[in-house]
Order: sequence, then C-alpha cells, then structure tokens
Amino acid sequence: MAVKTFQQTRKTMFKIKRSSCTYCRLCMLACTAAHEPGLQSVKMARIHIEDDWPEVSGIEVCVACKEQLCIMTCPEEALAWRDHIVLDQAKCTKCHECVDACPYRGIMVHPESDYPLICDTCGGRFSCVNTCPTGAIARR
Amino acid sequence: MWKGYAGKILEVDLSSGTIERVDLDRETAEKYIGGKGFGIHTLFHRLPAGCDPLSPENLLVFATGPLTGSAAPASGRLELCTKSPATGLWLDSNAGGSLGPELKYAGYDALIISGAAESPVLLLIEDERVAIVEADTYWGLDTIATHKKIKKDYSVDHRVACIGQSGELLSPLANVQTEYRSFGRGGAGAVLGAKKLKAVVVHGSGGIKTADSDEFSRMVRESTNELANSPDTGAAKPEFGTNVILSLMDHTGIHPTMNFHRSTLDERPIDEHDVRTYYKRHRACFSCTIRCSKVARVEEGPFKGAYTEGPEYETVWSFGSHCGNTDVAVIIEAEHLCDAYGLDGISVGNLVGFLIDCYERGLLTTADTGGLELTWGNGEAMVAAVKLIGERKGPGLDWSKGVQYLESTIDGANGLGAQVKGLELPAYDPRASKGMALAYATSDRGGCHLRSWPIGEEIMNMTNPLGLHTTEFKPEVVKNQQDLFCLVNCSGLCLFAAFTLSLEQIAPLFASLTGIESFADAQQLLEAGERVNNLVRLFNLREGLTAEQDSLPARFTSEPLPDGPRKGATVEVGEMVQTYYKLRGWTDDGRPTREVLDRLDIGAEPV
Repeated sequence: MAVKTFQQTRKTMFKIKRSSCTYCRLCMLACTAAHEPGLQSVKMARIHIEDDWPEVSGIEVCVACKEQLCIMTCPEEALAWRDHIVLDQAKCTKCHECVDACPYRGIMVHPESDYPLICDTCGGRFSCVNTCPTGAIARR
Repeated sequence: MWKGYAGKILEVDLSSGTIERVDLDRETAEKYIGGKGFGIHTLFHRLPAGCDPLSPENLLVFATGPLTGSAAPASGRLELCTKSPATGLWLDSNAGGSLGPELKYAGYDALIISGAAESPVLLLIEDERVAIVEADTYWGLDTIATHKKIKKDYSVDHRVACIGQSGELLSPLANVQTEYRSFGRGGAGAVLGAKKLKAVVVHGSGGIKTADSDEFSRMVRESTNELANSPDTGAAKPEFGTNVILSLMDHTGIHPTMNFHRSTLDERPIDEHDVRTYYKRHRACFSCTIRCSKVARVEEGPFKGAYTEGPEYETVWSFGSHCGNTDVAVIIEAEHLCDAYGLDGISVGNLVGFLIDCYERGLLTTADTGGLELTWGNGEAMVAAVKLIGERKGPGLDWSKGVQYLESTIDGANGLGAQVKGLELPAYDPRASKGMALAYATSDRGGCHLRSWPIGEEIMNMTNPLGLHTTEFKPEVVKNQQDLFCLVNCSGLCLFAAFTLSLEQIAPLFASLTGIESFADAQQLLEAGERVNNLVRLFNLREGLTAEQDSLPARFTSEPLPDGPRKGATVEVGEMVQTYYKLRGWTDDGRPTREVLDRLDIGAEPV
C-alpha cells in the first residue's frame, strides 16, 4: 500500500468558521462520548471551545498543521503522524511539552490519566462535525 | 452506583465554615427528580417558617436535574431556590449557561448554602476541593467585571454565578448572573448579598455515567431532530430569539403598552425584525441546538457601544412599549445595565413604566425623581432611572423596593401597579388572555409567565386553539402546564425544548440516562411535577399565603382595554381560580387536602 504524503492526508481535517460557533459545546460532548463510551462530559474532549463573551469563541483543535511542532518537540518521540497525530502511550512521560508547543492550542490533557489528548478524527467518523448544529466546524 | 445523577450533595455553612458532602437519597431522587424538586424538598423540611429571607437562616439551593450536563438537547439548566425577599414566598429561578453542567462534572447534584459570612467571600468548588475564599477585591464590581476578573484569576473554564452592586445592596429586584445569563425574578441576588457571598465558582473534571448508552444516544438523536424540524425551535428561535413572538403579541392585543393602560402605541411598535438588525451573533446555552440567545450591539447614536446578551422578548417589552419607547438602542443599554448591576429586567422595566405613569399623572414631580423627566418614551431618563435603581441612590433606594411598595407610598398610586403577590407582571396583558390571567393569579412565585404559558394553547395550537376570550378549559390548561413546566424545571431541560418535545419523547431520555425505571412512564413524571407543586403550595401557605392573594390587581377587572384587537376586554379570575382549586383537589381556600397529599405520597401534614 502506498504511503500517503502528509499533504494528502491533512486534507481530511477541519474547516473552521468561528463566527458561526454558538458556544453550545455539543462538539465537546460528542468528542468525549466517542472516546469514553457512556460518559456524559466535556472534560475528556480533544476539542476545546474557548469562550470570550461577548466576542466570538475560539475553536481549539488539532488542525493538522504543516509545522507539526508537537512531533518535533516531543523529547520521547511518542508522537507520530498516521493520518492524524498518534500518541504512543508507552513512550509518553506526560511532560506536556507538546501541549505547550502547539501554536493552535489544539492539544488537551486528560483530567484523570494526564496523557495529552489529540484529535484522532474518531477513526474518520468526525463526531464533532456531525453534531455541530451551525456548521462552525466542518470537514475540509 | 448512580447513573445520570452525580450522587452527592454539597452543603456549605458560611457562618461556621463547615463543608459537608452528603449522599443523594435514592427515594428523594425518584420522587422529586432534581432541580425545583430538590429545592422545595430541602426548603420545606429545613427552613424555619416565617424566617426573614435576608437572615442567615435562609437557604440557597442550587440544584441540577438528572439531564443537566448530558448530551440531551437544551439540558444545561440549573435551578436556584430560596425564600424570596421580594414576595416573602417561594422563589425558584432557572438559568442556562454553563454552571449547572459544571456542578455535575465537579461531582454534585446540588449545592446547599446556609448561614452568612462576616465579610465578602466567594465559594470555590474544584471537584473534591471546596473552599470559602475571601473576596474583598471583588466586592463592589458589577457582574460583568466580576465574571471577567474571576476568569482571569482562575481560568476561563471556571464557571461563575455572582451578584452585582444591587445584590450587595440587598435590593429585592436583584438577580444572580451566571455566565452572562440570569437567575431572574424575586430577588435571589439580595439573599447572596445578605450572606456576603459575592460568587460561586465551580470547576469540575469528571462526567456523568449513562445507564443505557445506546438507547440514550438514540433518544438524543430523535429529540435533536425533532427540535431541528420544528418551525419554532428549528427556525424561528434560532433566527429571532425570544423576540419572535413580538408581532404576534401585538396583533393579538396581548402586548401590554404604557403600564398596562393600552395595547397599542401611536407609533409603530418594535417588532422582531427591528431587534434582529442589532444582532451580532447567536449564543447557545450548554448542549443546546436552539441558540435562542443573541449578542446585540448598538453601532451608532447616543448609546453607541452598548451591548448585551439579548435583548430578550421580556426586556424588549418592559423597556419598550411598556415605557412607551420604540428605540431598541435604549432597550439594549437598559438591559446591559440590568445585567451589570445584577437586576431583574422584567421587574425593573415594569417598575420604570410604573414610575413614568406616576410622573405623567402628576403623582411624581422632578423634585421626587432627582430631576429626571420621566415621560413616556424618554430613553435618557429611563436609563438614568435604571442606574439610580441599580445603585440604590437618591430616589432609587425607594424605587428599588418594587411596585407593590411604591403603590402604598406614592400618594394616589394605589392600584396603578401591575404586580401579583409583590412580583411585577411580565409582558402579557391578563385582560387579553384569560388563560394568562389565571396563570398569573396562581403562579407560585407571584406574577410570572413561566409556571404556565396558556397562550400556547389559546392561539398557537394549530389543530385546536382554545381562543383568548373564553375562560373555558383554562383552569385545566393552567394546571396541566404548571405540572409539566414544574417537571421540566426539575429535569435540567429548558422549557423551550419542552414546548416542542412531548413528554413521551422526554421520558425515555430520563429513563435511559438514569436507569430509574419509573422515569420511563410519562404519567409518573407528570405526577412528580404535581407533587412538587403541591409541596411548594404547602410552603407558601406556611409562609402566610392566603387565597385572596391568588388574584389580579382590581384594575384589570374595572378598566377595560381601551384599544387594539381586544378592545373592551376585562377579566375576573375568581371563578377560574375556584375551578383550578377543584382540579387540584384543594379546598375552597386553596389548601391541599390530606387526600391529595396522600395520593402524591408527600408525607407532610396539610397546612
């Protein structure tokens, strides 16, 4: 199987329209539910809506940027790109350098396990996109 | 193991500084659901009868419902229950925003606050870590500055409920603001102020477990689709917000004008299209697809730069046609000031209209108003009056005691006010809608449109509208809606979702989330609403409520509407109230009988 280049695969990530975001956080609920089955919460989401009332909210999520500073910064080489950023938990020391390095603030931290949380596209199902009622986040 | 519920109640005593975590009782959860139910269950059994609402004995209960914090659509609501400083009776205020879900994620279904601190404090809740923190630097700030400062000092994801200057000054018009939304009506802000509690700050990191994940997800999808396909929640409210009914209320003569003396203005009244031109963007409460909330901003004119989350239908009325004003910018500025000071927009707007009425009749002069020329539609004077009320300065100190108080102190103003049980009426003329008249008379927190809203059945029911003019079936509609709305206020759902979804669609959400089988039965849920309403009635009777107070101001019987589509209409509620008592199984003087209390398994003696 041919290995996809980075430029090809990053086209599967998001198109974000901040002005449409209503701050309902259904995306965060859907993201948590997709990764923690049966849990109703926004706290384990890999997308974060940063409120700035009364201005538009910020939508913070991995945008599959070209720079990939998270991968470059990780001292343990625990991060890699395979259609999305993948974390090798065995290597990760939870130093959170990737979290600080991301210029898009697209990496969250799991409140219990303390591992970094990065969008994995829900295995291509894109739960956040499917649940957004205004199209503020869509597939590219 | 709790599903849907967090399973714990947090109790904080501000006098002694004790903090306790109590297990949620399963029987209480099944019988009283949550929200308003938990509030009345706590207040009825623990509040000493006749206690001063502003004394340390009064309790504040922040209570979530089982659906709060879940993915169920429009389910981010939180109830705040206490004894009202405005009416001396029961008060529950319901607000959206984000605080309710956060409280659940922190691990608590409810928060009960007793006692009073000696100096300003805020209550900080971060999961297990709960602390009463000194808040001198926050005291004196308005609610917007308080929110911004707390979010700067803690984090943007810390959720806030706080009071502004009006709450600190113990104004009975004061509300509690949470994430720029309001726990309105009845003066809960003054209760926080009396407790020297500036703010409640919550940050949680957990979640709620689901009993039957597949079924719950299926029901969430179904109800979300239902809301999206409804012309109301799927099109009208997303586009216009709550203002969508402005034209309808005008065209049916329900919209009260100039302190309830007319139903039309000489100029063209504000409609939803006028308000929409000020909208900058849509906002939604937690987990809500309806997004009825808007952010509006004034771009030009004397109020340039004024902004608000809203303006809501009620404030567009109260600072609009109620005051003879047709300038939306004035409304946006007035609503912004109300939010900032932490004031109730309905009560304050109603009050300002009342003051204008008094001024125009010569009952007040510029000597009484601090120089303000309170004439119909004088926007500058209205805004100045709101500032005086918010800061309780000059004449504003007396004004902020509410319409009922002013009726008895301004010479010749007796009978001019539009209030029931001491709470100022909202934006529906009871003469035009007979159902609304009964809804006002029998509402448990005084003049309120959110205990039942029979206008829906009177004119908006497409298959079988009951009509505005008749009293027929109105007691039935009001009783059933009161029980349904009460259940909704117990559940964590928003009333707007319940206008569209049927109880048969809501019940499976309860059952699949919590795993409590009795919740699957819509009738049993409705009965829980009835149970809560009856217990609230007992509470109010114990606080001295009499059947005579289940009435409207006499002017609505003696003064016919002079104009508009319902010209000549008057209303007499006595007969409807008696029928309503009978339907409820209450005595002629409005007291729940032992039979009713036994049937609903309330376990309390008749009052």
